[in-house]
Amino acid sequence: MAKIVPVKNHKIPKKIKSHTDCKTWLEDFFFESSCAYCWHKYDNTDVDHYVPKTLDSNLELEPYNFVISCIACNRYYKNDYHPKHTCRKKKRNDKSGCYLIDVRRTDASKFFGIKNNQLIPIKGVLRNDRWVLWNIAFFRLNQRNKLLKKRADLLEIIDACQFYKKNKAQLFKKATPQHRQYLTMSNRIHMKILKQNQTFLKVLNITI
Amino acid sequence: MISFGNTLDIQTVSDEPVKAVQLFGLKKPQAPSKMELAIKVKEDLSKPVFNSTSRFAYAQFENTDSQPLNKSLSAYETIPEQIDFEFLNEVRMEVELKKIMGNELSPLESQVLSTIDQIFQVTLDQAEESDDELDSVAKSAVSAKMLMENILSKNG
Repeated sequence: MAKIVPVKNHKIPKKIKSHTDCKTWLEDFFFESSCAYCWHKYDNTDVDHYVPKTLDSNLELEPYNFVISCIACNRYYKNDYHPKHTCRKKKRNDKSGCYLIDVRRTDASKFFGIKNNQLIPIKGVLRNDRWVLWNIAFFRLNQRNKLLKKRADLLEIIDACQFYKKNKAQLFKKATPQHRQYLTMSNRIHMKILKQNQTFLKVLNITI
Repeated sequence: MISFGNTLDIQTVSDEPVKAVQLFGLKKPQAPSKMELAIKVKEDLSKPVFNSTSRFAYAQFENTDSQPLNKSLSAYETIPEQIDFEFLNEVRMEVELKKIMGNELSPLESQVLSTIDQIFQVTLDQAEESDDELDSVAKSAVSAKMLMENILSKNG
């Protein structure tokens, strides 16, 4: 199950006066500082109302309506778009199948794949493909330069880790002690980075 | 204002003329469709005197024969903040949706999409975080992999 699920015994913060009061809770229990929409880790993040408060004021302080979002996804793309409709307001009979991802509720790993650093739909039913393409287009996940760079970097690290794991026995047989030490150290650093980017790995169903 | 003739179905993307009027300071009767406005942006982007981010703001009040309705010109002084990303997103998503639903885009729509993408890219290049740590670890991963391949390729 690649859906982002909370760790056990997560406690909803008491006395929520503002959506930002839930930031630590969200980071600790759900998103590991990763954006719910583009799945990358950022130093500065926003707490986004999944259903905008302008569209449903009842959800303004509802913790389960909050997601961590990077500044680009939240402020430049999502804004006050209705996540379940293809327009900013709730539209009757929107049968497009296009809605915005919420990795807490949707197992995105069944739908999103990656090829040559480009996100693609895993071929399924047409409706799912549309949904994936909509999210990719909506947040420009295949176009944003810095996002593509982060993704390329992560894929390099994943590649190195997978290679190391696959060939570890043989490497340790053939490598000099210095090389062994270097490879062990660097693998440790690579794994640490990947651990910090769990959301990305989970969503793309990448295992090391 | 550009004339599109009857060949283009620009009405499908024009559902908020009032907002368009507010944004671009045009009188109601001349309120253009979103697509027309986006094309206007495209035209203005090609003017060499403006840098890429200020061109869009320039486009917003270039229509000298009309008065802005509810924004004064001084409001546009700080350029990047004045780009209306919500408006651009609306245009962009309407065109994207058409594509996703399997319809072919007209050359005009493709042009609009690419123009809006350019505007976003310029702004996001400044606004988005880069990750130097990730960059350096990725470089180390590349070197580590090369080393591993070298070690494995040795005989014996």
